[in-house]
Amino acid sequence: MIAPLHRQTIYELSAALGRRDLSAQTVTQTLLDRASTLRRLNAFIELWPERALTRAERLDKEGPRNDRPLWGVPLAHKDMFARPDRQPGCGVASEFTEARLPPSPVLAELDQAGAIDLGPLNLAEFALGTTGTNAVFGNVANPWDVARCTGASSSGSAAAVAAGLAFGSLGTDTGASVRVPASFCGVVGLMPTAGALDATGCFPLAWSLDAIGVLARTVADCALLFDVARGGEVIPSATSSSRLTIGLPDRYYTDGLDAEVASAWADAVRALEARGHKVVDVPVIEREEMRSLHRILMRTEAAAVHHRLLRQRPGDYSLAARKFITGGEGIFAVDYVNAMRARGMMLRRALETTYAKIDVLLTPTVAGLPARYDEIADPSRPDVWRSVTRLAQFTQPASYLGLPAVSVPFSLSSGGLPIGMQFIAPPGAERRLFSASLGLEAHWKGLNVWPPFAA
Amino acid sequence: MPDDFEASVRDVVAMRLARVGREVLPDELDGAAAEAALLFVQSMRFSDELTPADSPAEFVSIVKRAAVS
Repeated sequence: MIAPLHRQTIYELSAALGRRDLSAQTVTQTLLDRASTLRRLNAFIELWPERALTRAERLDKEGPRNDRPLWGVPLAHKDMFARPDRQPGCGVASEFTEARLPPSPVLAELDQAGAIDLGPLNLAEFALGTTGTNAVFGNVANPWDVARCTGASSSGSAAAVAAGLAFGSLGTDTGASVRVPASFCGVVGLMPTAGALDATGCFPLAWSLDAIGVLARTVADCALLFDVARGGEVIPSATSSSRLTIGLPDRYYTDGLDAEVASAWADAVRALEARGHKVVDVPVIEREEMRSLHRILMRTEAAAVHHRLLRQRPGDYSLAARKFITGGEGIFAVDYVNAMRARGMMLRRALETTYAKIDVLLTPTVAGLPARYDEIADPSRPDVWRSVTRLAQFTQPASYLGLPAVSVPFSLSSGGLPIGMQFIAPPGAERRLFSASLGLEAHWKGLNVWPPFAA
Repeated sequence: MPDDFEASVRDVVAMRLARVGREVLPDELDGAAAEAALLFVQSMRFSDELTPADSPAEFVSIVKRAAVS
């Protein structure tokens, strides 16, 4: 049976478009209609129907070409990227800066490949946040349970892809922002190796940590978007015949672990072994210390980026953002410089201690399940603060070390919420991540589930 | 962490923010001082382990050298 159009993969859709069974205009209109119907998810900041349909019409006239692997495929991206005719909104109310960013070359690559841009997606204010809240544009609703958070800061990206409002999305990941929302919304989210995707034209949160990431519904689609975005050759996703040695961290990754996540992690190990992968325990280096070093870099750089704007226009910032940024203004210069210097030392140590023995490391993406928005409404409460900061505890180390990592959906909780697993690999080993992910994706696909609030 | 240490960091942070010349809410200042003090303490052990050969450039170099083709 053929899946409804919005549930198809990019590969399935491209095949139908290539045969001219479908037009780019039909596909685009279908997704625009869905985005309008599912407005309550609040995934989009703006929809661009005229612009998207005009582009689809032009593509239909030109016809598909083999050298345009995303011909007629509707995508939508986090509102952090500059386009030739539009500066990013960054999830805040006003045009906050006179600085003009150059157009994003990554968006240009997708455009060149024939993709259609449906409009900018919602996100955490200035990408500062891990839950999915936005005081200006409203919270993004999780398509699996609209009362629950999506994870952030690429909240709109994860919700739109999960709900079939776009076939893929670019996000940004400074410590969690692609992988956590991908895990909470049941999609694949890749943070590539530091510098693998050109961050020009992307508004920074913390430039030494920021990575452009990719979200899609399948591993193969994610790999395709990554290949196109970096302007390289499109390499078909690895097959399940690749046998990998997969490491399980010998410490640090059980703190505060939800029982259902722990159980899913054990099931994931069994699923990988059943597919012929070898799973071994492996020593890992100090997670909490790396989180501290990560915080020093992220807060100081965010404070530097916003230093002048915050002084000139404090009213454009929420209190939470002001507190975060002010925290960075107080960090000592020598601590920042040493956190930068320690990065090489820690990476060397991680490569020798952990990654010399394995192909990839497997951890849960998040220790818990997505919370209800009403449970985390008051971040000044210590228990809320602890639960929110805990969201990034398993994802920050890869960001600090510049290592590629992917979150792949694996199972559903008893309450019907997605649980994602994270693979981390040495620099440049995105292919290994995709190979490993296929082993868990098979289990997820076997569940044959779709978000109930995006039916 | 001793209270007087956090208090002294608070003074330094308050002085810096005063120099910036914008109004700072009390809880903003407290949060900034507590964060700075905590991260200062946590970063100390790394400072002890670093050698003159450790530099930000070294990180980029290792990423390139270690890259899996």
